[in-house]
Amino acid sequence: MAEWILYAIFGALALGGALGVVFLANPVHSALSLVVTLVSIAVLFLEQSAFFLSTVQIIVYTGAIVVLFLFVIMMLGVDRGDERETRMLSRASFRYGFLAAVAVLLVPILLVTGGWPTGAPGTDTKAAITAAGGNVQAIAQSLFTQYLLPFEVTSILVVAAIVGVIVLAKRPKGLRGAGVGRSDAPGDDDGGDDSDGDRDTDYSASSGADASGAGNASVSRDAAGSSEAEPVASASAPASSSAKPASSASGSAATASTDSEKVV
Amino acid sequence: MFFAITRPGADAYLLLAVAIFMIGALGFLVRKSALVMFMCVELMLNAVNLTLITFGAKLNDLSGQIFVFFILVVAAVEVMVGLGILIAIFRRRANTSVDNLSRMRG
Repeated sequence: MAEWILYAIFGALALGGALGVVFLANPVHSALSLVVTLVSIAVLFLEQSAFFLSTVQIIVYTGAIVVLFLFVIMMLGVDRGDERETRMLSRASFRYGFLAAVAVLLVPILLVTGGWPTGAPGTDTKAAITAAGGNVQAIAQSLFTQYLLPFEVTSILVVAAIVGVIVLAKRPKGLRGAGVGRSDAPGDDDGGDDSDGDRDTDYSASSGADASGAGNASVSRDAAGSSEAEPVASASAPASSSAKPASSASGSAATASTDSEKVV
Repeated sequence: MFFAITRPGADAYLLLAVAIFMIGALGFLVRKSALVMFMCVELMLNAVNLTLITFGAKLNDLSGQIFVFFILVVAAVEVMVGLGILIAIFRRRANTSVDNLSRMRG
């Protein structure tokens, strides 16, 4: 009976947190609701005697992933004004989506009576896991013998992701100054003067003073929040260029060289 | 049938996992901020993790937990790369609403 009580409490918490992720307007509140869901799911792992993964779930998800989310939210300064007006889709499509979700949810409810977890039971019973020394020892035994190759391939994946994130997070101007040929470097393949000038002001502002860069970004975001997709590019360019009129598109070569010197 | 047993069976956990997955999918379709869409992807991944753990416990097989371990690693990597892309987008657009990302060629 205690298992049912735990299941009810933490299942309800998981559902509530998931609904909070979807329906809260502030991204910080969404991230904190995500923490509630992840911890509740960790408790449900614990209830099914997956002790190691319950711990890893809390450490990796709430300790790394959600903190990364919050870090990016704080760094980008995404606040409520980002999507206050156009947060949801239209009411009709929302209603149809909700009906489809409920319909898909009904399918396993109708199937419950069939005894549907099928397949031959494995050999990792509770007695076998206890004989192996516990949950952690059993997982380690399986991970480093049977699943050794996927484990090593995972390390390659992580290294590739780290290199990719470093390349993505570097300043593109610095990369171009260092002689790395990148097809998606800004200003290479589009001849738009407005967007080029916009990016130049952004980079010079962010490299010069962070406070003015943040104000610049918020100004252009407020200008873009109330308009549609197409006028956004044209609306954000005058806002930021009026905020910093000193650097124009004609001075892009000078700013590029100074940026490359700063980065390299 | 549902409450007759003293502890929740696989059905209860699977239903909860389906509900969380559907909420995540709904949020991914409905929200417009790319950050919150990433969070909804995490919700769906967690629902699938709960399913794998449940089936592993039901069928006495540790492979479910091994799969969850790998999914955790891949989810961490995915969030890392996704947020890196988001930062790169934010440098250009000063907005992470997916409405403004319809023009990806450049």
